[in-house]
Amino acid sequence: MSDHAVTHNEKTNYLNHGKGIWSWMTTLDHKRIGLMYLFTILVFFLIGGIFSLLVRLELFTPGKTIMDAASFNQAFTYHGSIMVFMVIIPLVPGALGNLVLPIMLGAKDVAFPRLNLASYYIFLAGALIAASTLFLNGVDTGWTFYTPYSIRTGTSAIFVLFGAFVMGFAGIFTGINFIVTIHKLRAPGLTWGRLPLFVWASYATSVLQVLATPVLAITLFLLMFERLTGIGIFDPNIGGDPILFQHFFWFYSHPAVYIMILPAMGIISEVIPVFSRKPIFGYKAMAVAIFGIAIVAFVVWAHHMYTSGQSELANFVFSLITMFVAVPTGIKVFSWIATMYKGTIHFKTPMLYAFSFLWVFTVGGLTGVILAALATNIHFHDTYFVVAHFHFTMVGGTLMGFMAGLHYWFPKFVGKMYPEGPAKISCVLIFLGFNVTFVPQFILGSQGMPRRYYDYLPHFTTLNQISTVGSFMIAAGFFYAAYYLIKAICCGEKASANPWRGLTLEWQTSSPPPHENFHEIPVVTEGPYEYKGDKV
Amino acid sequence: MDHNKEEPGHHILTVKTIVVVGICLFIFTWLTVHVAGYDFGAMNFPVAMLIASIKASLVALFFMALKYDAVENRVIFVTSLVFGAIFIILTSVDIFFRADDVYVTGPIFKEAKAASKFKQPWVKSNELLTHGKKVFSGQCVACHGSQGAGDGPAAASLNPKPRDFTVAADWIKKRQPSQVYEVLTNGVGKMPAFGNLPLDDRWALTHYVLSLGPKPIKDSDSDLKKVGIDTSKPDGGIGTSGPTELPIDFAIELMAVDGSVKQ
Amino acid sequence: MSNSHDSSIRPHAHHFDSAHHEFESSKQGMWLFLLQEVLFFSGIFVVYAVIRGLNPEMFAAAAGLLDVKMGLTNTIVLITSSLTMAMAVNAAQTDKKEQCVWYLIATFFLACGFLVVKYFEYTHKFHMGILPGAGFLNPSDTHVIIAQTFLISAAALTSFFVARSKTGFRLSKKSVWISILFWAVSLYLTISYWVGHHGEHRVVGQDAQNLIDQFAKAPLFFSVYFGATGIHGIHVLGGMVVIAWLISRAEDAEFNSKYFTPVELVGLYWHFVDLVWIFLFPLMYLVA
Repeated sequence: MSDHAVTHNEKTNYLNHGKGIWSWMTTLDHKRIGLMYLFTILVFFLIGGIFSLLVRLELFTPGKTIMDAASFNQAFTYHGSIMVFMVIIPLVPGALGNLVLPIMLGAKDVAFPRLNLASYYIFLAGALIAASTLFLNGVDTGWTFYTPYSIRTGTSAIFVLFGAFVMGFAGIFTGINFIVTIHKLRAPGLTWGRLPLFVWASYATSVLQVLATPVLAITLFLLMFERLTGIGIFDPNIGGDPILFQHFFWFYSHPAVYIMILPAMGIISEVIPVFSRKPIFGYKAMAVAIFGIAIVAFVVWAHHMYTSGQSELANFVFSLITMFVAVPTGIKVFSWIATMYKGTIHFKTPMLYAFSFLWVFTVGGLTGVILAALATNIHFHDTYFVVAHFHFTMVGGTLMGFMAGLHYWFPKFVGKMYPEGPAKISCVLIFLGFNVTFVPQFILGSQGMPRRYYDYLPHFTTLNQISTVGSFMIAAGFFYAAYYLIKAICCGEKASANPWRGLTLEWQTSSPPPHENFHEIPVVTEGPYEYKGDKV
Repeated sequence: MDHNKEEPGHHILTVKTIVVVGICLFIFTWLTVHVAGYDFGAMNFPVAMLIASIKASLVALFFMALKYDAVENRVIFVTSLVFGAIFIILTSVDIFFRADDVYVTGPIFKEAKAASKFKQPWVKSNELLTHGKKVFSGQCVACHGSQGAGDGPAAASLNPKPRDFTVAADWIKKRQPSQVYEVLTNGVGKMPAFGNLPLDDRWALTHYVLSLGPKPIKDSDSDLKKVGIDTSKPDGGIGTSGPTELPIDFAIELMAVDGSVKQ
Repeated sequence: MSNSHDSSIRPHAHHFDSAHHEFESSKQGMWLFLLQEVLFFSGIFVVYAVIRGLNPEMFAAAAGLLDVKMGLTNTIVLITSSLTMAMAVNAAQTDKKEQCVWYLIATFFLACGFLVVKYFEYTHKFHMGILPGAGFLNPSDTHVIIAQTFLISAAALTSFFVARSKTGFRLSKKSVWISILFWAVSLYLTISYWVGHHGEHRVVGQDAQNLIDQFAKAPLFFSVYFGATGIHGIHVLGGMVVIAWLISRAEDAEFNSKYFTPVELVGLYWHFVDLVWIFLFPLMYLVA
């Protein structure tokens, strides 16, 4: 890969190419679309975050603290639905993927720019439809919409279901776009063996999105049909099977969690080599592991259903297969550590987030193995142990991976540098706050506190209070991050084209990049991780 | 133009190919319907799916031009079928392997509303005869005798004597099943009403005692209506072919659950 | 490959190297879309497998109430429409503009015919008291809903008949006549149904009553039936909308041997819709 910094005229770039709000609303530029996704999703992150603080406040004391039980059901349902469908799933692919992927490939745009813009509006429409229920009757089924309650509840469940249905198509179209882009729009010399791991991760994520999301679509469609006409497929009163709904739901929702984590893993695979000044350890194994995770993701869904009443045979089969996902995941964790070994570590914010990720995601992954085992799952199912597990992987994994990528690519896409000191403080605050919030929840779960419960036994109070304090630490960390990032956007120090001396293609163009990404398409001659130990 | 034909994905189907494939599809459609008229037992479903798959392959390979297309598109299509199959197969690993004593769908009470275990208790059958003989030996031999000859021990004190089912002379009146059933239910003369016996028992007895004598007179629909059987419905309007009692373990479970609920 | 001097050649998008590059990428995009459609319909087939597998006799008995002749007619109609669609693609690929337009129109009307047969099937069922879900044996004002759906669909379709031309919007004569025909048929069917059945005392068909007396779970079969054929019907309707759009573009001579991507891609979608029905027909109608 060529190493020279670009010194073209940087006055016109994608941010000022075409002025006015209409040029943004009708843009076909993947970078602008990425920014639109980013800001929209951050708004929903704020709303979902507020709901999480409300939930934690209510759980500060047993019994009623700030709301009644019915409201509590709505609070955790909104927290879950918003965070899953409007934040974590679209975040890395929609925001960072759109910004970075085509440039990393040396392409001028994604394969289908108009479809890309349509995806954004479809996402926005679906999100608004779902969010509108906040002003109607709300929804209180939990984000999993299990039947028969979701059939009978008098809340505005239909709009949330329909909103999620619509948002699913945004994911499908983005997936289609990315797959064709990766297949067809690579720069000359960019062979499959030289693809950055963020590209491999985005590729696998896109395959998951196209294969799994339609099953969510049919699930939500059948549930809406059932609420409207009572077809009875999932309703035991008419002879249907509520466990069948769970099969439908989790066939999508389990691959969905890999849609959430794989892109974040891709980011970590970019950040660690750059800030260790060493090539990634085991590139081929890392790429194969990504697809290993993606394929296993499809055949393990019923491990969410061990206690649902499904057959013993299914319990056995799914528990056995679920164990296998630990293998490719372990390969990745060990490879990241091996990459750092004997490297020259530079403790910049992206790298700090990568360290946070390694700790938090590993704990999340290991507790996943505990939950995969049938014998232990019987006791942990529907307790706070599960809640802690998925927050460790989703927040610790995806969100921290996102923060690493956000800081890593901030100078590239804003053209300005964020302040390193405040960023480190915010990272530490988020990391500590996260552990204070969720480590107690592992203990609560193993002691038997059920999840989604409004009330709890008095001896769980102390740990709940610690957890609530932690949640406010996380909030403080994110508000501080918002503050210094906004400050950097308007008056930060100007950033060079390649402040981290990275070797992937996005660093071979100016910061911010021009409208057409490159003034001349680069030709690739070597792999993306050929670091030879120079200082950053 | 010839250049286009060489590249994958740019193949132009000839009109001849289109028409031939179309005709094949019509032929296989006729075959689909024709084959449905035969019963291959367990092979019915695989045969139907085989023909459908052949038709689908014709459409995919020729109309959708997969035969001439780039490998990537073929891989995409096959991948979709593979994952669709995974969905069906692994879900079935649950649905069709649940333990028999677990009621996976529907409430049980609907089934227990049946009045009769038999399909049509008012129609004579071997099972009913067997059952009738059993009930007879428990309920009726005291008066009617062990062979139904009206010479049971209790008959000594009865006047007129209980019917002798084995002679034609005693079968002049009430020779229809519905009439016998009505007598069993409501009694006649000195014979008490046996309405407390389950419906199945009374019909079984009816057929059994009639079988001991000359050929009975057939019931008309209105006769059966008089004893509560609506012949326009397959289950006679009373609910048949179902369990007439709750299974014991289910009842025990219900009692245990009821008992554990704190008030 | 693309001759930049020829003004009839549509230029390819800037991020592709050539028209061929763009065509190949677009086609792959459509195949990926069909991949997700397969997964979408696989959900329906799972429901089918579960309900039929757990209730085989009920399923066979209930399927006896379906009209095989109508199902067979629809199969023939759809296969023919795939034929005409393939011919339309062929015509576009070989610069035969008029043929392309007429084959697309034929496909459109065959699709329309499919939906009309479905309309009669469905309304006959509703008349018998067979409706999806809670409506089973409890007929309600579903015919109103159907009529309205039909009219709304007609309106949506008509809007796509406004032809796009290089110099602005214009209505082509063919489009106008097709729209008028479509509106007339829909209105006639709706009004005649309303007039014929409005306010009537609905008598539940004997077949339906016998069926549910024998099998308490019979409504589940019809849930699968209406669900599967309904979703398939929505896809047919969507296909009709897109074909109508193609007709107007074809009339504007937008397709030729150098650029026929939309026709081929819509063709792929349409063949897929046919594929699904090839399986639905024996699975639903030929079970008894």
